[in-house]
Amino acid sequence: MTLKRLLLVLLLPVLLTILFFTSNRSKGKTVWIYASMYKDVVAEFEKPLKEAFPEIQIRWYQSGSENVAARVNAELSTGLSQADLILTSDPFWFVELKKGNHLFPYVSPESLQLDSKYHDPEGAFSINRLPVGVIVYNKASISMEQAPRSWDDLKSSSWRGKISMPSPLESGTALTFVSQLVRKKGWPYFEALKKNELLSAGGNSAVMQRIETGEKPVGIVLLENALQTKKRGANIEIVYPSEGVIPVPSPIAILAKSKNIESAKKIYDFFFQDTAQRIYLGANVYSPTLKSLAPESAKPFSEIDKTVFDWNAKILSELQENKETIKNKFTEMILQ
Amino acid sequence: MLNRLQIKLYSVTWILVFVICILPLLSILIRLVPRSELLSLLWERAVLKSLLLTLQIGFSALFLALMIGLPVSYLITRTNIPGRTFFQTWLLFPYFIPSFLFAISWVVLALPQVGLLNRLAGKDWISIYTFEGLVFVTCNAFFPIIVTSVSKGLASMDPSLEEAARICGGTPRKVFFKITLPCQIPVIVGASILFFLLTLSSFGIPAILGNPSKLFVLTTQIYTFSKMGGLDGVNKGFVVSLWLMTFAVALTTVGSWLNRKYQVKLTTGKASRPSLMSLGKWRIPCFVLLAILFLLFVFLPLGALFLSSFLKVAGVLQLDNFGFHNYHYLFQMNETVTAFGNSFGLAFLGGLICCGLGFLVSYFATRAPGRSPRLLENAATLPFSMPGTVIALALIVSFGTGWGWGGLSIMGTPLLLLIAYVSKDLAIAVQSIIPAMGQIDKSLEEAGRVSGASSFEVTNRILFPLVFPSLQGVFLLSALPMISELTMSVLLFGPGTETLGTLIFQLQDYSNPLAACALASVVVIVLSIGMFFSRWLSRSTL
Amino acid sequence: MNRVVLSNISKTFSETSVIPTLSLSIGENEFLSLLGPSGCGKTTIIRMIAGLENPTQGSIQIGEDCVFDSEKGISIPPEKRGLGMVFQSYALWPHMTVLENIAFPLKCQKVSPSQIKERCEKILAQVQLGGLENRKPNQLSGGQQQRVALARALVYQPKVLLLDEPLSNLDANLREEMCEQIGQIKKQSPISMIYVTHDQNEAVRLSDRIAILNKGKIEQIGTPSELREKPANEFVRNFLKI
Repeated sequence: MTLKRLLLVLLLPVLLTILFFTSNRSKGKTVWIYASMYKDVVAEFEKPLKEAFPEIQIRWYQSGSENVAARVNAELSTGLSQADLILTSDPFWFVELKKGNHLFPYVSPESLQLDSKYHDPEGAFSINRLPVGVIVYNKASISMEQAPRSWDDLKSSSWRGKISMPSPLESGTALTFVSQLVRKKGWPYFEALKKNELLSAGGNSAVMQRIETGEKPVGIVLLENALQTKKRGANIEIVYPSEGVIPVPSPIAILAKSKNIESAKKIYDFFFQDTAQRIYLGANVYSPTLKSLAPESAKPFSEIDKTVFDWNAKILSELQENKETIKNKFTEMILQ
Repeated sequence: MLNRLQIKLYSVTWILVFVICILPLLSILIRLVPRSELLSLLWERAVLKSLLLTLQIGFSALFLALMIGLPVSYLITRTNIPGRTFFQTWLLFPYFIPSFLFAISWVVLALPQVGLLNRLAGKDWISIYTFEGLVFVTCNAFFPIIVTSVSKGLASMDPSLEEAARICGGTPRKVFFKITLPCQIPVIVGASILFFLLTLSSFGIPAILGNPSKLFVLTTQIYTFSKMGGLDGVNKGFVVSLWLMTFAVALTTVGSWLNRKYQVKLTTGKASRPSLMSLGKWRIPCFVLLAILFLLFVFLPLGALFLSSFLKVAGVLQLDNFGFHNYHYLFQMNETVTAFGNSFGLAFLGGLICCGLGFLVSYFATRAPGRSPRLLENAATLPFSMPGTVIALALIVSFGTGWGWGGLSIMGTPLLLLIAYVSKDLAIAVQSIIPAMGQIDKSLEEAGRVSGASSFEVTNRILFPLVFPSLQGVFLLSALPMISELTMSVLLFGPGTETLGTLIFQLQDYSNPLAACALASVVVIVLSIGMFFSRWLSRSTL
Repeated sequence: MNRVVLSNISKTFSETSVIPTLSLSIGENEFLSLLGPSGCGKTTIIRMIAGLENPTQGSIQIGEDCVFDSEKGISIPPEKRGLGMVFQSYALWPHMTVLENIAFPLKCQKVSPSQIKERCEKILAQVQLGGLENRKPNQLSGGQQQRVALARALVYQPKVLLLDEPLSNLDANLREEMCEQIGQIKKQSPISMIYVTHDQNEAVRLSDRIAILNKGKIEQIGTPSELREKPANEFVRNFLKI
C-alpha cells in the first residue's frame, strides 16, 4: 500500500463530500426555524406547514433550549444569523435578545385575542405555548394519602433526601422554576428544601428518570415530561400544587437579521392558528389560544389558570434582570 | 533541508491544520481582544475550584489507569496468559462507547439504593455519586488508551533485551521492573499525556456523575457559561477554556520534548516476535485477575446498558417489564436509518482524513527543520483538549455563517460536522503516528535515497508501507469515537444530518431514555462486529 | 566430565520440524562451534540450552543438573541456569550505562556493592573498556558495544558461555581483534564455550571441535583437522570448501 495509491483512494470521497455537501445556499424562499421542540413534534408540523406554504422551503434546527440559544448566540456574534424564527421555552433569553435589538417586532393578527400578558409590550415576542412546572411522584413507593399536595408540603421532613429538580446550571426551565418559586415564596423556601437535601442536577428528563427508578421519588419537573413518561406506562402521579403551577412562558420571535421577514411572518401566524396549537396540546403543553382544551390526561386549563403563579411582562423583565443574582445565590445555597 | 516538493506539501499541511484546528479558536480569540474584562473569569473562585478538581480527577484517574493498564498490557502482550486475543479486543471496548453512556450505565449499576449492584447485594454498599466514583468511571472509559499504546510498545520491543537479562540471572519480576518498564517510558509518557488530555476535555461523565455530587469540573463550568450565559455565552465559555488550552499546550510540549530526548530505537530490522513469558503457576491467578477486570470494566457497564434497553419502564426488574419495545420504537423512527448512515459515513471519511493529515503532520513534525514543526504538532493537538462544546461554538462563529458575506454557509452540513470530528481526533492520529515513525530507523529511508529514489518515492515506497500497519490502528482509534460523538453534533447538525449522537441525546433527554439505551446497545453491537472484522482482516495482535 | 549434554532433542515449530533429533555433548573447558548455513537450527540449539526456548522432546543437562526433561516435566527457567550469553545484536540495555549493564547480573545475585565494583572494574580492564563506565550504549562504537556484551556475560563467571554470531556485525580488523580476545578468554578461564557462526574461518581458528549442522542435523562433528582431512559427506566438503 503506497502513499500514492492511498491518496488517490482518499481524494475521491473527499471531493465528493465537498462537492455535494457544502453549500447551504437557500433555494428560493427559505425560512429557518430554530426551536426547542422534540423531534416528533417537529415531524407533526412538517405536513401542515408544507400544505399551508408550498412555496416556502422550511428548515428546522431543533434541540434543547440551551443548545438553540447557544447556537443562535454564536451566530449572532458574527453579525449574522441563519435562523429566521426562534421558538424556545426560555423567556429570559428573549428578553435579552430584545434588549440587544436582535428581534424584529411583530404581533401576529392571530394572537390579538390573547391576554396582554402573553405579549411583549414592544411586540418583540409573544408567548406561543405554555409548558408548566408541577410536582410528580412515584406511585409505587408513595401512596396517594402520603403524597405532597402543595409546594409547601415539600418542606416537610418526610421528604428528606427524596426530592430532585433540574439544575439551573444545565437547564433553562430550571431557572424559571427557581425564579418563580423565589418570587412567590422567597429564599427561605429553598433553605427549607436544602435542609431536605434537595438534589438539583440534570434536566427534566433526568428528574423523571429518578422518579421512575425510585432514586428520588419526588420531583419538581415539567408537566410535559411527566405526561410523556406516564403514557409509556410508568407508575407515576402528577400533582398540581394547591398554590398553583409554575408557568414556563415559551415565546416565538423573528430575528431582526432574518433575510425572509415576510415569509417568517406568515409562519409566525401559522403557529398561533388552531392546527399548530392542537399539535402543541398533543405534545403535552398548554395552548394560550385554545383555553378550553388541555393535553391528554392533564387538568383543564381553566382550572390551572385560577392559581398559576403570576407573570406578565413586568415580572418577566424583573426576573430577567436578576437572573445572574438568582442563579448565583441558588448555586451557593444548593449546589455547594 | 526540505526540497521543493516537500516545501509545497509542508505548506499545504500547515494550511489545512490552521484552517481546521486554529482558525475556529482564533475567531473567538479575536472577538475577545476588546473584551479583556472577561479575562477576570479565569480567576473566579468557582472556576479555580473547578480547575483544581479537574486536575485532581485527572491525576487520580491516570494513576489508577497506569496501575491497572501497565500490568494488563504486559500480561496480554508478553505472557502466555490464556485468552489473550479475547482480552486484547474486549478490554479496549470502553473507549469506543460515548463516555456519557458509560456514566449512565454506572448510574444504573451503582446508584445508592436503586442501583442494580446495591439491590442485588441487599444493602447500600456503593455510591457512584462520589469523587471516587467519578475517578473510577473516568478511568474505566479511557484506560484503553494506555493499554493500546503500551501494548504496541511492548510488542515491538527487541526481545533480546529481556532475554539477556533473564540469562544474566534476572527473575521475570526483576526483568519487568528494571528492563522492560524503563525502556517503555517514552511510550508510557505519551499515553499518559493523551489520557490526561482526554480527562481534561471529558464532559459526559462529569456531567452525569459529577453534577449530582456537586463536583463541578472545568468542562461542566464551560457548559454552563456557554449555554446558559446569554448572548455573551460563547465568549465566556471560551475564556474559561483558555485554562484547558494552556494545559494542553504545556503537556504536548513536555511530551514531545521527552519523546525527543528519550526516543530509543527499540525495534530491530528483523521481524522477530517477542517471546512469550511463561507464567507458570501464576497463569491461572493472572487469568482470574484479568477476568475480574473484564467483568468490572466491560461486562458490568455494557450489561447494564443492554439490560436497560429491554425494560419498558426504568428501574422495574420484573419479568413482564422486559421486551423489545424500545427496539421497535427505534426502528420505527425514520431518523434511525439516516443517523446510522450519516454517522458511519462521517466516521469513515473522518478516519481517513485523520490518517492522511495525521501522516503529513507527523512526517513534517519529525523532519522539517527549525521551530515550526513543533508548532505544527502543538497546533494539530490543540482541539483535542478542548471541550466539544467550545469547538462546536468556535466552528459556528468561524465557518457557520460564512463570515458575514452571507454567501457560502456550511452550517448544518456534513462538511461542518466532518471538520469538527477531524479537528477533535487529529491529535490521536498525530500522537500515535509520530512514535511509530520514530521507531523506523532512518537508515531504511537513507538506503532508498542512496539507491536513487527521490524523497517522495522513498516516502511512497518505503516509509509509508512501513507505517501503514500502525495507520490501521490509528484509523480505528480516530474513526470509532466519531460514530457516537455527541457534544459537538448536537450544536452543529441540521436537517438531514442527524447523527447517532444527536439521536441518542434526543432520546435520552426527553422522549425515551430507555430507547436511548437500545440505540446505544445497537451501536455497541455494530462496533463489536466492526472490531472483530478488522481483527480478522489483520489477523495480528495490536 | 561433560559440561553440557543434549539428549535426543527435537524441536517442532507449528508443524514444521526444525530439529528432527539431535544429541550433543560439550566437555569442560571445551570450545565447540555450531557451524552451518542460515536456517540450519544452530541458533535454536543455543536458545534451548539457554532456556529461552524449550525442546519439543528430549533432555538437557548442564553440569550435574538436569535443566530440561520433556518426559519428567522438568524445565528450569533461564535465570536459574547460570549461563552467560552474548547476543548477535549485543542486547545492551539502552537506558543503562556501561557499568550498570555489566553490574546487573551481579545485582541479581545479590553480590555486595563493593564486590560489584571490584569485579566490574576487573572485567572492564580485561576487555579494555576502562574509562567508559559511564557512557550509554548508543555512545559506543560497534566494537566497544561488543566488548561490553562480552564483559556482561563473563562478569559472574558462568561455567558455560553461549555466543550467537557475536562477530558478524564487525569489520574485518575488529573481527580479528575480537577473535583474539575470545581466544584469550578461552585460555584464561575454565569455561565451556558454545559458539554459533556461519563463518568457517572463525570456527576453525577458535574451536576445539566443530559441529557442522544442516537442516537440524549434525552432519559431522570433530576437530577442525578431522573435518578437513576426513569430511563425512558432500555437504561438509562444500561447506568447508575443501
